[in-house]
Amino acid sequence: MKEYVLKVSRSGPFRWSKYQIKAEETTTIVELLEEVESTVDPTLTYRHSCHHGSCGTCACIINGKEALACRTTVGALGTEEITVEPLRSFPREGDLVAHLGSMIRSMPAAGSYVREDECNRREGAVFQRFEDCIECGCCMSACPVGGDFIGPAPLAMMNRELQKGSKLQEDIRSKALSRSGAPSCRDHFACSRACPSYVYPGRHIQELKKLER
Amino acid sequence: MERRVVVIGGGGTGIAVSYDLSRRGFLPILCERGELTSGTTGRHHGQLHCGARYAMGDRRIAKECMHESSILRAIAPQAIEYNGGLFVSVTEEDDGYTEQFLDCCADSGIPAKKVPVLQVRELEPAVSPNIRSAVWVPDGTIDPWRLVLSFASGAALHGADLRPYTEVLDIEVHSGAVTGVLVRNRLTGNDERIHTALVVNAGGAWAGKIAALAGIQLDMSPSPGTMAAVRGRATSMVISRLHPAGDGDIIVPQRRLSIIGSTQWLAEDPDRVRTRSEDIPYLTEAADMMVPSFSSLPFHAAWSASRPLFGAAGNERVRELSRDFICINHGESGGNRVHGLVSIVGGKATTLRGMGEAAADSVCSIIGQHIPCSTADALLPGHRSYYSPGAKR
Repeated sequence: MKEYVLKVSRSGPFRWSKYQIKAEETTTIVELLEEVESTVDPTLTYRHSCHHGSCGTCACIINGKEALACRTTVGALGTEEITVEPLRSFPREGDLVAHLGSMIRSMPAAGSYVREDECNRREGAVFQRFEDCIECGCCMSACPVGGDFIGPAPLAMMNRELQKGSKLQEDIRSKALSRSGAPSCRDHFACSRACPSYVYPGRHIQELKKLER
Repeated sequence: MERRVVVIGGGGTGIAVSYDLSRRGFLPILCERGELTSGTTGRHHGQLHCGARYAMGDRRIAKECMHESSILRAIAPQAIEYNGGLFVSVTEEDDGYTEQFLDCCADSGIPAKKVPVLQVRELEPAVSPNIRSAVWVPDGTIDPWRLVLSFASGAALHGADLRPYTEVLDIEVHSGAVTGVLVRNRLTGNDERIHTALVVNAGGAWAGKIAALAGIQLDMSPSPGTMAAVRGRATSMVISRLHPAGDGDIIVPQRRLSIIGSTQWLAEDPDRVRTRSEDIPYLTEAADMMVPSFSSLPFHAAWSASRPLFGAAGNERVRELSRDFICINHGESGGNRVHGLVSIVGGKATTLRGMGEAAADSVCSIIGQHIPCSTADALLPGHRSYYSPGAKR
């Protein structure tokens, strides 16, 4: 067990709360937040659900980088002081509670849902698999393009839907290639670096850019 | 009719209760102290249980799981990978179990069937070549967050008021009946008194703490277990060990992950549960007996979740506590009676809809009205509808 200082950005007037806390190297940031909430500061608010990088709720900015709090261990960070902030580019509801509605509403209606006709393996197999995007918002927060840009996650999902032959092809295509869609991307690839779920949204956006309008 | 019902707990149970009540014309107000599904449901390994795991021990639960898993597959296909499951025997000891297991599944209405060992390797090449027998069952994988959010979307679209980050501080009881609840909005710090004559306690592993707010003793045994995920999808079907339920005997594929569950112990306080990293080697070794490549896949995460077991037991007997759910009308049973309070406890993620139905039935009986349940054959909206403007979020 080692001692760490957890420094959390609080909502309301600008301030940080600092908590001294003992943890093992394998302890995750979400476990630290739980520990602080249940023993030191019951006012701390944050999002979490699956604790294994599958639901996307606990995305926040840890030591300056977008990450899932449940998959970031104090040992991997290697710093004695650990700062945690909410995702950028979303409205803030609580300390580490970002409201992801704007991103979610830009996603195509049935995008990323399991479909009966999906195969994920050898020919003839009929096994289904959930899509990789966990809608955590890391890529949206990391993307330096602002304004009315639809953003990486919805665009990546649109590209997947086009590849999978969605029934809404035309609608998705026209949104993806509109002025606020793929053409607004400035090729920073910050999205691909931030994605904790190996979606590489930047690559999807590049593929969209190659489509004829 | 009294239409307002305060539902306490925003896990699978509370959200399914709110959804059911909203479809029956009630106005549920769901209070959850954190994010939705931040307790147990969200951390579930994701197995959609057809009930085969319980067929040997408790046929009623097995039948219930079969019934409920079929309903979920029909009403929430977007949140379920229905790839089936395999029970595999790996030791001589397991062998004697196979025929009995098949009989019990048949008695429980589970369409289990024996699969020739050679065929197993064709279906799932990663399964151990040393398996001695295999049985196919209609298991699947749930995305717990999306399943629960689909129920939440349905509830909100039917008028339920879902309040995450809202902690219940007190349940007010006067002359033996519920009169209201005192809640704190943890995002604003504001306290509010909600007048209501009907409260459903759907607190899962925390249900005992919630019942105590109304002066009711409810024995719960929060029973955490460690789970571990590795990166890479070892199999697409759920793989279970064909032997009596124990630690480390279920592998569930989820996205590009494979999850091994689980260990089990008894916790005094579900708020103070530490993930036992020392369980991980044991779990991955157990997984290797079914799928030998499991432990060689890159480690992804380890975590723990508290099963919401109802009843009191010592640590050594905690596995004997039933996974069944029970609905208690506190106005009718128990030493200290509180009219208008219902607790819905126990159960598992697969039976969440059924738990919602049972609690809503109990609320209807309290107000003396028969309003039928309509959640079993209505397609749920997708999880993203939770963020649609009409859903108040």
